[in-house]
Amino acid sequence: MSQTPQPNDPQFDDLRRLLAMKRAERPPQETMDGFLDEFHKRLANEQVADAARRANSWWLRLRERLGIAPAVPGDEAFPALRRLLSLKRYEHPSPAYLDNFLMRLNRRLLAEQMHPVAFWARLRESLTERPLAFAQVGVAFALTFVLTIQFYNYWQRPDVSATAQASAPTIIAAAAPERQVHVTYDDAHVVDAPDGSVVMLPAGVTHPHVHFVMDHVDFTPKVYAASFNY
Amino acid sequence: MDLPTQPVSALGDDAALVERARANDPAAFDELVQRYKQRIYGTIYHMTSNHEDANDLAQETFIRAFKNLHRFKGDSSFYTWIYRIAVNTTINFLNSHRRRSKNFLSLDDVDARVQDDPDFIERTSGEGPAGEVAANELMRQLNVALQKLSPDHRLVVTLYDIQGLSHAEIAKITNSSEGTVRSRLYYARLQLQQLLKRYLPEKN
Repeated sequence: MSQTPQPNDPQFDDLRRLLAMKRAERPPQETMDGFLDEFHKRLANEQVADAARRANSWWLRLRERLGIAPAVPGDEAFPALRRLLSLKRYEHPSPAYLDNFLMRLNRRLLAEQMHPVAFWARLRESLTERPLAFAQVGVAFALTFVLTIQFYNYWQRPDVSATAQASAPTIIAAAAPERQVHVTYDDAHVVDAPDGSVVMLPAGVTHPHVHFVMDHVDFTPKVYAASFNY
Repeated sequence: MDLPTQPVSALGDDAALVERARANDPAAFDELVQRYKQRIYGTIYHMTSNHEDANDLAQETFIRAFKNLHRFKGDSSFYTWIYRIAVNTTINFLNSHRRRSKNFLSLDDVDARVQDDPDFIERTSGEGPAGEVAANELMRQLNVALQKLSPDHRLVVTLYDIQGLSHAEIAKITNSSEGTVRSRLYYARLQLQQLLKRYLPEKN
């Protein structure tokens, strides 16, 4: 049976006295002086980061793109900020700076007309400006190409059953080495076996037992030769 | 120089100038450039905070407009169209460069009339040379804060709060809904409110 530890147990007196000395330990005064400023600075940074996170969240961006942005407070919520931002209107270059604007523009237009930018240079510029858009177009083209190839292969696949039925050819069967059997469509009929293979039964035989199992057939349009092992 | 605060509709009919420009009348296109250069330049400058880039992109905007004038069908007004070109050109530039623009703000860039603005006086306390320094410092801080926004958020703040366009006009320019514009504006302001806290009253 264990004893419940007592907080004032005399056996810990020395340890308590030792730890009590830690109470006298104080941080440097300059650290404490700057603590509040540092706290405010870090808090402000956190608040800025938090506001940026909210503004740039993917969910909000998606809703804005889809035109279902949430209802938000209007101008009335930011009167002081709006007045502050309106002071930016006073910031503009000197009048002379913009007076020469037209002259510089006309000079540049003339230069571009005399030395038109090559198609490849314009394409490269567009690629640089809109890499994401071009990546999307590239992926779309690649998908279209792959799908086109797939559809082409699908539609070009020969319809063997239709060809065979249309011409009703004679089938020459390659039998096992000790026995060779020639059959025609008139002599036999083909049924599907439960295991997925094709079973050929001689004409007139309706017995369910398997007599010939065709596991490999080659059809060519000219010869219509077939071989099977059984 | 007048501040670009007058409504765009007050600039008069652009359609006739566009028609003349299409008919190879260079003077007509020059007139369109003169009408919009300040607004376009201002928008791009507030997006990039860099005069060199703003100048280059503003010229690029008008060159693209000139080359594609035959494609302008008149479904929207000319100013919406030219703004759209400017915005796309600028956002493409910002996305492709993804760099912090250097701030080339000089003392000449800030209109001296800012020192008479009650909002400026409220936030700073200085006239004369001290006022100029305060104005430049304030503009620098505003630019730094704006540069921390994403291009989409910076764009709506620039067009609405600085250029004075309406939600509907911005929606047309950015090819989005008014709800999207309001949402982006709100979240951009939330960020700016944190970034510019020291210039705003505690209550705000």
